[in-house]
Amino acid sequence: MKRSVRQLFRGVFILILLSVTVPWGADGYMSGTWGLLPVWVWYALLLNVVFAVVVCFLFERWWAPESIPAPDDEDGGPPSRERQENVDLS
Amino acid sequence: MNSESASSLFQVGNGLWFFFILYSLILLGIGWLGNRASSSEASLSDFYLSARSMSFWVLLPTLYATQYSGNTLVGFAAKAYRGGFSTLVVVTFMMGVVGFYLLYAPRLFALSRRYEFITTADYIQHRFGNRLLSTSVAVSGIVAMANFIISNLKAIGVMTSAATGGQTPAWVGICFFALVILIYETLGGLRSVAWTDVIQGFVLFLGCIAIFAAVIYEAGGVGSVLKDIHQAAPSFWEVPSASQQVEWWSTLMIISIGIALYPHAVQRIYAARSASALKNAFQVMVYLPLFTTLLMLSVGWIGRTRFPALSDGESEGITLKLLTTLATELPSIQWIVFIFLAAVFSAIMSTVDSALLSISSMLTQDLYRVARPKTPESILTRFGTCSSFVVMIICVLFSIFINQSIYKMIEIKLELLAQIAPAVFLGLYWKSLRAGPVLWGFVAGIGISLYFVLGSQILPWAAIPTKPMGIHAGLLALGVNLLLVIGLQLFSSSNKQSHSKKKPFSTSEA
Repeated sequence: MKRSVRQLFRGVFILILLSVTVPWGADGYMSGTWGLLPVWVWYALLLNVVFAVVVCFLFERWWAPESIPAPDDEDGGPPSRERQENVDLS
Repeated sequence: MNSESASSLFQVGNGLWFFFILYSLILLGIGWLGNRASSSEASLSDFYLSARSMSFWVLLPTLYATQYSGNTLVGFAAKAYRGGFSTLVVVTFMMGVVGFYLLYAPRLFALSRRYEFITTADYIQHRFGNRLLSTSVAVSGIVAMANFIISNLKAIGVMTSAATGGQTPAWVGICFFALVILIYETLGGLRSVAWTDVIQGFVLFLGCIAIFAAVIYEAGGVGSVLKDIHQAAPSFWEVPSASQQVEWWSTLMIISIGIALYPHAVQRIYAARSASALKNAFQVMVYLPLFTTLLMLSVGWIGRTRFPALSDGESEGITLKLLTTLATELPSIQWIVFIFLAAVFSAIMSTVDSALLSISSMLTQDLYRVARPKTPESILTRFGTCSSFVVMIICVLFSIFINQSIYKMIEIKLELLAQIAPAVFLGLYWKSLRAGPVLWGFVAGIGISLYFVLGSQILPWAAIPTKPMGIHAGLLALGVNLLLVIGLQLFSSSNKQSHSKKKPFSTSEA
């Protein structure tokens, strides 16, 4: 898969992961000591921790040296200034 | 504030100036050490990026101290007091910032090593080769950071006055701390700023933990606190409505993206010694909101049980109010007020010095150097130092003299910074993306943000909402910006392809 497409998926994944931390419709209460807080608060707290763990793990996976190609390579690296075309504002 | 707590605070205030001066001397000493460690050949890379030599042990505290401002200790607790558990979004967006770093920092770091970038606009210019775009990015960064400095200086003035029981006017605190920051920042550039951040970050981190521990202990533990909160503020238990959840999501997105693109955060990415130092710093950073932001939110929630009926304005001082009451009841732990004040001043100073240095770097590298490309680095560095003085003087004057209602009109930060996101995020990975679409998207994004944010202040009769459909104006603007970038790029690419297909035909015709 092209590196730019893979990065797009990564971006969408982070956005979804962040969006999931919003307690959409997490209603109700739990029993016992846990019931001191409503479900949606536990949900938000737990998802925060999960988000942190996943991001920490992804840093390890996505930031391997081989995942960062030379900037001008053929696999999605941004072109250098010398290879830029003239700016077209139309 | 009752008379007892006010007098207790004043007692603290008497010793406070001794602490202020001692703390400032330590920071100035570090600034001087930073100056001694600087290369004898003054270069922008050395001054603004600490010669790209920052290890994990400096990167982590400097990223941490910079990301958390005085708002963490004062503003977030007040928000929690008023907004209840729905302010948990604050913890998430502080983590979300690190999530967005993940999307661009690895590649940008690699590029910065190869092409020796100093500022965000350096990358934009390198990538798109469009001076109008890179200058616009630099100017929006300067405006956003100047706003950041003014709001933090205002906060330092208010805190100085409050901490000394009103004995010291706000302007004295503003001028004193602005001068200290200016001296150590101009002495050693990022090296001094980052080294002072190590101390400031440490004080902030320990301060949050100590304050939380003292408050929760005094309140009788977690179980007792939750029961008290349930009685004092049953509304905290209500599930956020659909519109509140949309606003939660919108806040999460705009703040995570905006903070991830702070010019001084990008500066630290460039300044890392190695990719692994940077990666490890981010891996730790993602957990720190749990030990900083969440604890300060808890202080705000607990404050609601002790002082259930504060006005919005009064609730801004909830942490200090809680701690001074605590110190009055238990004089043996008066030190906790000191810890709080030390943490607040550390957080504010570490933010102001970083923002000031990033403005100085943008003025020097993105504006002055472009106008005078043959200027030697030593002169540029001197220009950078002088620009820091000028910017700080302007910001001090604004923070002392500008009326709060006028200030609200010009206060626009994250809305501007978020508009840089397509240029950075897409530019790094979309090889054929050209400058034209990015520039038009950026202009549209800035225009829409200004329309909603300033329009609602300047044209009250027009009833322009600051959050149309419950979504932050900056996020809405970013959506339009992104659509324009992608749409114009795809449209121009398909046009080009059809032109190139027609070419052989027209040539043979000729």
